[in-house]
Amino acid sequence: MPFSRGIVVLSIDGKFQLIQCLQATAERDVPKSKLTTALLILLPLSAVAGYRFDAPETYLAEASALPAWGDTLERHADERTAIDDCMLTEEKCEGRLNGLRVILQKGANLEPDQQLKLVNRYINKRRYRRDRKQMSLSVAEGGQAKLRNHWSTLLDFLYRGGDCEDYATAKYFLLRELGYQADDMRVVVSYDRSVRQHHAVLAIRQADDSSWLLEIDNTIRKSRQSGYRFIYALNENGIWDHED
Amino acid sequence: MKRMIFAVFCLTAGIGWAQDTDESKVEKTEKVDLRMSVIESIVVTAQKAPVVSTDEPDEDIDAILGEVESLENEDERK
Repeated sequence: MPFSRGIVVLSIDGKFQLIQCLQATAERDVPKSKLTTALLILLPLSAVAGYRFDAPETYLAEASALPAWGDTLERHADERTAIDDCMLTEEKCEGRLNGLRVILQKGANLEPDQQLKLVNRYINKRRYRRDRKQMSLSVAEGGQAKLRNHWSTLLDFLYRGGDCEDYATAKYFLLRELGYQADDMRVVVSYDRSVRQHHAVLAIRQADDSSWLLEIDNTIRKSRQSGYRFIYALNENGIWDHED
Repeated sequence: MKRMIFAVFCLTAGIGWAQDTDESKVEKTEKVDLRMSVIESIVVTAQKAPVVSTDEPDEDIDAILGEVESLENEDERK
């Protein structure tokens, strides 16, 4: 029965496919009441579908449009000199750079799956610390103090630790050092319904355009059901808006 | 005369199109600015502490992480 087959496909693939399929079923004279019921059942399911990279209409702005993130990218670019020097000459490695050198050298010889596992576990071992959410006073906004996210660079994080968005950005920068392309990774800010809080994870694009989420508890979430409502995502190339 | 009317028509249409384009650009910029300010105000607060890995053991990874840990311990002792 085409209608029920559609439900199974759509509940794992997300809203866009759901609408496409419902349109297709509408052409097959499926009663409108059934379509409405299906929409009511499936829309909440689609909201927790896996993260998708292939939605060009979600592109919002370039990375620098979010000043705190743009600043982090600039600081990381400056820090890369120290990382490069350490990779070239062991004597130039200090503190956490010694460990990072081992990760980059030995991680380069691993399979991609193992690289993700290594990076996830290495970064997740760092100290969890409520970050210094930056208080900024904006006169233009009525002089109210506003909390803003602080995005760590890789070295920042290795020395000081951080909270979930810092774990995600550190994994992003480290995987970039291991050769992953920026276009295949995004730090995704989402709403975690189970704890009713905003959360950040690193999404890695897979060959079939599904994505894996590198979690803070060492899990690599490969399921098409994420359990998250995605809000926005970013990498060094841009910011994507996932709220309708 | 026909050419003149055609030229005036084209000119009017051109001006109208340019104005539309400008307006839609302004509208789009305002929309992006508004969304950016919303995004900027979202504070990520999840307080999940990292837990011990429940992944399948991987000797390669364990060996690398072990080496890193001993380097870091050595560094902390200095």
